[in-house]
Amino acid sequence: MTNGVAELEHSDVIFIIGSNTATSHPLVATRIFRAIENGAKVIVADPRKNQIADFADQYIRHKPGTDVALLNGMMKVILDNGLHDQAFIDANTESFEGVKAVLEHLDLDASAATCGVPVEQIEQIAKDFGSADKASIVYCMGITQHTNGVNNVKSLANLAMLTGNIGRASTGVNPLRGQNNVQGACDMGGLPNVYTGYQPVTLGAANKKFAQAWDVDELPSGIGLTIPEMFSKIESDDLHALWIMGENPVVSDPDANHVEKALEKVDLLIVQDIFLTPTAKLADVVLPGASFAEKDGTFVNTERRVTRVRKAIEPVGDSKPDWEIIQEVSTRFGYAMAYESPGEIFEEIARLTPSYTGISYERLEGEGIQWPCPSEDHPGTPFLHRDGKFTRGKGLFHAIEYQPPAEVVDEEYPFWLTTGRVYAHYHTGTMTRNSESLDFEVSQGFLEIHPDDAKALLVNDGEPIQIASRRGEITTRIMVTERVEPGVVFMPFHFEESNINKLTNPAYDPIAKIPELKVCAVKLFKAAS
Amino acid sequence: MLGFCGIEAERLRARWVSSAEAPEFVEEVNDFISALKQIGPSPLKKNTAQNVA
Amino acid sequence: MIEIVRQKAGELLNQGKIKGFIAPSRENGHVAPRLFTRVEELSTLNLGDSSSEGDARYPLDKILITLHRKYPDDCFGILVRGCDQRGLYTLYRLNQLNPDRVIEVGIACSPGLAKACECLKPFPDDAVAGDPVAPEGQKAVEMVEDMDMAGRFEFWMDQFSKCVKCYGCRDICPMCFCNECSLECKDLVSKGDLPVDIPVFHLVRAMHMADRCIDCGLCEEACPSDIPLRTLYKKTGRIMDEEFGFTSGINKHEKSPLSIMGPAPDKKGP
Repeated sequence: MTNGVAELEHSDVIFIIGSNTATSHPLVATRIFRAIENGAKVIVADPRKNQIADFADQYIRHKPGTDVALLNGMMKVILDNGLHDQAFIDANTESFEGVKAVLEHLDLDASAATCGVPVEQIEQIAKDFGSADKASIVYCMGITQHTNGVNNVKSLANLAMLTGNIGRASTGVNPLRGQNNVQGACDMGGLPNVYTGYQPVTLGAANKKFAQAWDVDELPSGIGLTIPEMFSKIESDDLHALWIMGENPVVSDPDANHVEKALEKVDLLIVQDIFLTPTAKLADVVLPGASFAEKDGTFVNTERRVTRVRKAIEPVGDSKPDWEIIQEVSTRFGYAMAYESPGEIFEEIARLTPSYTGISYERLEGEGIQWPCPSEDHPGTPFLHRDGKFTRGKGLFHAIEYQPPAEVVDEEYPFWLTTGRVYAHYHTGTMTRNSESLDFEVSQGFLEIHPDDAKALLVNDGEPIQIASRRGEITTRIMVTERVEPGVVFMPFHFEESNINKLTNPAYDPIAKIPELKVCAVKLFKAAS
Repeated sequence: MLGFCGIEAERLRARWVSSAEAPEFVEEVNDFISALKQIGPSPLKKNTAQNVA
Repeated sequence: MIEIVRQKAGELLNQGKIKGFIAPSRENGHVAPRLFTRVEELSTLNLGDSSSEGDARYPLDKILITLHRKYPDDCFGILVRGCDQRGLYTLYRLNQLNPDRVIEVGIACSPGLAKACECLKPFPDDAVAGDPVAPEGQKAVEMVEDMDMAGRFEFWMDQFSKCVKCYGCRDICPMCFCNECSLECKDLVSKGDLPVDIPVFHLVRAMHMADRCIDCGLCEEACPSDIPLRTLYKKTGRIMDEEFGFTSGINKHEKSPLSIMGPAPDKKGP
C-alpha cells in the first residue's frame, strides 16, 4: 500500500475494485466502515456483489476481466469534465500525453458496453472520485490475477495521478496483501529478479555489495524463474529439483492437473511446510517447518509495517523455524551459515537494505515501523511519494488500451468463471481446514450461480453440478444466489477435493507472470445425485 | 428485544399449552396465524429463490 | 494507583496466600495479560492502560476460569475493575469459579472511563485504589429507543450486516464458557457464507446474555466491524432490571430470576 490502513478512515471517497474486503481483509474493512460513519462515499466495483458492496454508495457490476475498460471510461469522464489535477500532473508526472490521447479517442459508449456498466453509472463514479479532496483506491487479486494484471494496476496508478490522489494522507493506490507476511517475503527478495528491498540482481553494484557481505567472489546476475516458468522447465527436462516452502501449488495454481504432473515428473521434490499438504504428499523429502507461534522474527504487513513476532511455544516434534532449516542445508552443501538468532539475521538485512537501514529489533518494540526507514532517527514512512516525489523521480503515466481476457466465453463454454475466498477459510485451507470450528462453518466447496441460470439448467440449490473447462472438470453442489449475475459463476478455491483450479487458466501476464485465475470460460451440466 | 431492533413484538409468542389441550392449541395457532396475516410479511423474509427447477 | 496494586499483589504473593496474580503487563511495548508468580515480576504490571486509561483491558476473569479448571485447589489473585468484579460474582453464581480460591484486588475507574462506558457501577466493592464515582446514564440505549420502529430496524440490520462471523464477541466474553454454543447450532443459526443469519445470530447471543452480561464492553472493542454490541446487551440488562429488578453481578450472592423455579415473582404474580 502506498498509504497506511488507518488513513482510510479519513478518506472522502474510497474506490474498492477487485477486493472482497470484508471477508478477506476484515480489519481493513473496519477502517472502511469507520470512513462511512465519517461520511465517506464508497464505490465498489466487482463482478460479484460481495459483502462490502452492500455498504457502497455505488456498486458497479462490471464483467470479469474488463477493469481497464471501466477505468479508462472513468478517466475519460474525469478529463472531459476538467476534474483532473493539472497542477499535480505538470509538476510531478511524465508521459501524460499518451494517456490523454488514448482517452480522447476513447468511445465511452463502447467502453460501457464492454464492461456491461451503464454510461451514467460510470459518469457518476468518475465525478464522485474526481471531485473528492482525498480519494483512496483499494484493490486486491481481482485486479492482479489477469493476463493484463500489470495493465490493470498501471491504470489504477494513472487514475490516482490524474486526480492528484497520491503522496498525501488518506489517498493512494492500496493493494491489500493476502498473507500476513507476503510483503515481507517480497521485501526480502523472494522474487526471481531482486535482492532485499527490491535491489535488482542485474545491477552490478547490488551484486557486488551482496557478494562482499556473503564473502563470495561473485553472485549470479541472471534473473531467476517465475513459478509458471519452473513448471515449463520441468516439462522440458531443464529443471530437476524443486524446493517448495510454505506453498501448496497443487491446489493454489491454475490448471492443477498440469501442476501435479510436473511435480510428479521432477527428479527431486522437497516440500517444507507445517502440515502434510497435497503438495507435500508428492514430495521426496518433507521438511517440517515451524508455525508462527513457534518462532521469533519479523512480519511485514500490507502497509509496509515491520513488526516483531515472538515465540510462544517451542517447535512441536521435529519441526524447526525455516531459517534454521535453510542454514543447516546450506552448511551441508558447503556454504557455512552460522547465524545465532533471527535478530542477527535482521541486523544483516538492515545493513544491506536501504529501506530498512534505520530499523532494529530495539526500535520494533510496540507497533513496529513502516519502511522506508533510512536512518536510526527516521520515524518511518506512513505514506509513500510525499508531495508527489516518486521513487523514480517523476510519476510515469502508461497509455493502456483494453484487451480481453485470454479465454472468453463461446458457444461451447458459455459461462464466465471467477474464483475467490469465503470467510471461514484461508487460501488452500492447509491451516483453516484443520480447524474444527472453521470446517464447521464451511466444510465443502460450492458454485455460486444466478437463479435464472440454475433454472435453465434444472438444478436446485444444494444439488450437484458438473463444471468443465478446456483443462479439467469437477463436480460440486450449487448455491443459488444473486450475488453473481446471469452468465457468471463463482467458486471458492479452498477445497482440494473439488479443486476449481483444475479448471482455471494458466495463461499469464507477460510482465509479472501472474496467472489469470480470476477469469476463464466453463460449461455446466446437471450431475447425477 | 425485538421491539428494540425495530421488529414487531407481535411476531413472537410464547404460550403454555398442555399436550392434553388440543383445542386450545388449535385456537392459539389459528389466532397467531390471523394476527400474523394482519401484520403482513416480515421484512426479514429471505429472498433466496431456493428451488428453481 | 498502580503502586498500591503492585504492593498489594506483592504482599499476597509474599504471604503465600496466592499462587499467582492475574493482571495486564506491559512488555515489548504491548499491554497483555500475564500471570505474575514472583514479586520481582510485578515491575511490568499494568492496569490495562496502553496509551489511555482502560484502552487495553482483557477478559481476566476468563483467564481465571482456565486456571481454576486446571488448578482447582490453588488460590489466585486478580486485578478487578467494577466490570471484572461483576463478572466474578456472576461466575461464582454460575459455579464456574470458587470464591474461596479467588482474591480480588479492586480499583475504581476514573470519571472519564466511567462515562465512556456508561457504567452502572464503575467501581468494585472494597476497592484498594481509586475514588469511586457515581454511575452514568444510558444514552446509547436511549438513542436507539428514540428512533421509530422503522429507524431501529434499519439501524440494527445495517449494523448486523457488517458482521464477518469471527465470533470475537463470544470468544472474548468472560461470561461465555459453555462447551457447546447455540451460535454453532445449525438448526438455530444457518451456516454458509456471509453475511451471517441476520438478526438471528446477534439476537441469540443477546438472549443468552440476559442474566449474564456484566457490561464490560470487551465484545464491542473486539468487534472488527464496530457493531455496537454493548448497546444491544445493555438493553437486555435493562429489561432484566425492569422485569425482575435484577442486574447481573451487582450483588455478590444474588440468584438469577431466570434460574428460580416456581411461581412468578410477586410484582407479576396472580
